[in-house]
Amino acid sequence: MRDPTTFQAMRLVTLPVTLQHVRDLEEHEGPLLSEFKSNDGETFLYYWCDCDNDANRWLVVRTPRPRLFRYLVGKSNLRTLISDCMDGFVYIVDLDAAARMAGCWFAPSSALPTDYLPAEDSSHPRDQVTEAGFQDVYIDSQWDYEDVATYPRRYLQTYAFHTAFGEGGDPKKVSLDYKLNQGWVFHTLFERMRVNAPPEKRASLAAVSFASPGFLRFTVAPEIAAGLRQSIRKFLKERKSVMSNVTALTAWSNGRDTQLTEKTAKESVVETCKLLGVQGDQLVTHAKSVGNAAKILASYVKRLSFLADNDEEDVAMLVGLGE
Amino acid sequence: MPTTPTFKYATQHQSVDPCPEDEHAPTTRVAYRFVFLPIGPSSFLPVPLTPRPPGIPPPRRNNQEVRCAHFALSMYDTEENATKKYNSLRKNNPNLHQSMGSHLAVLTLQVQHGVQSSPAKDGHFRIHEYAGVDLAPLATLVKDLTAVAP
Repeated sequence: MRDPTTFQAMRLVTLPVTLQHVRDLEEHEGPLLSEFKSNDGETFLYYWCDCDNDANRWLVVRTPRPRLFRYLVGKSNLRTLISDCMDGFVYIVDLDAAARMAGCWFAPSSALPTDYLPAEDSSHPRDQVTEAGFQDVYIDSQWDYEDVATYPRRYLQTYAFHTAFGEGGDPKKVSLDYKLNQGWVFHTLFERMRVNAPPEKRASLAAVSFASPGFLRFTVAPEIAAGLRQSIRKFLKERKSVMSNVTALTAWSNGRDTQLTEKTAKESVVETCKLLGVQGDQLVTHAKSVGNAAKILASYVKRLSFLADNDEEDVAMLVGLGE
Repeated sequence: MPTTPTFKYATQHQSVDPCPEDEHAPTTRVAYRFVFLPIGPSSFLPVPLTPRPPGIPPPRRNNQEVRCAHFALSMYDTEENATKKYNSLRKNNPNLHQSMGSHLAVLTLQVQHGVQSSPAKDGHFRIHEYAGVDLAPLATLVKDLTAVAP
């Protein structure tokens, strides 16, 4: 391996910050890119760049969480994350076969050899970006108070629907026989779904940073959150059909359309749910009537559309949605 | 009565129980693997196994965690998937060939070689070898993965 002093690096006795491994973001028979955190909660990346017969060399880069999320949702590349790092310098760490420190330096990021940096068109590891137990959302917009309150509420309500009717969900004995015609009733409806789920499957808001760029972090059950992301993908693909069905169902359930019969309305609910990867038959059963099922579906789709639109417009992007 | 085969790294598996995971099963499959030249046992070492033979770099590790998957070997189901993954990794880590090998080899895995995971979307799967299995002699060279820019 190159002597780091040939690219302006200065030798250190040891890494001046204590770091704990959080997760590997990219790996292939051992990590290639890992997330670490310091004792005061700052995020660092370990990026593999070189090796010889005795050690592997890693670049250790302080990376604020919004920057990391920006990379994880595909809005910046790995090269930018390292070469344009906020400190302007990186640590270089040589670790032996047992991950023990064999050398440590710090160097200006602008002086790093080209082959120590990812290519200009480096990709991000789409299949390994979600941290188990969390759904992170990268926010690339200045939000006002209303936005700040709305996004988490809508995410959690959509998630609650999935704990009952989504992939990995279970409606159990939840009863959704509300007279669904007022806003507060829908709030109660999603709350019923939320409390119906066992505690380990419920979601909650775990962390927020609303600066631009900022982030949200939800504690989630991975399989439910993955199902929700899959439904957003399906919605983005089938938006026209879904919205057309929901518009017709809403008109029918409000008595404004006689084109549909109860039988065809039920078929439309089931078909729309199928397009979104959620359980339509179960929804009809637990809603007690096709009309209620249609209203609940419309309410769910409205929230799903909100999450999808925020992602498409690069306002609030769900980490892992691009997988 | 047939005896249940033991795993090559059964002793190490005990520290990362349950290992291998339930979804692994013995099967016959053509497999592609990144290798060093000349193809030999050093191209078929699981992550935690050290010391390495001369000329083979130490395993990439940046923490003390050892997982079950570390005792398995990574493979791909097609040449296309293996090449695509290698190029993708190489874009992010230009010196990757030094750590992972520079060439692609192909071999046919048999049920008596070990248990395999199902290929993922990108064609990647793992094999936990049975004791006494040596896959290196079965591997033949396919191509130099560094000959073309990723």
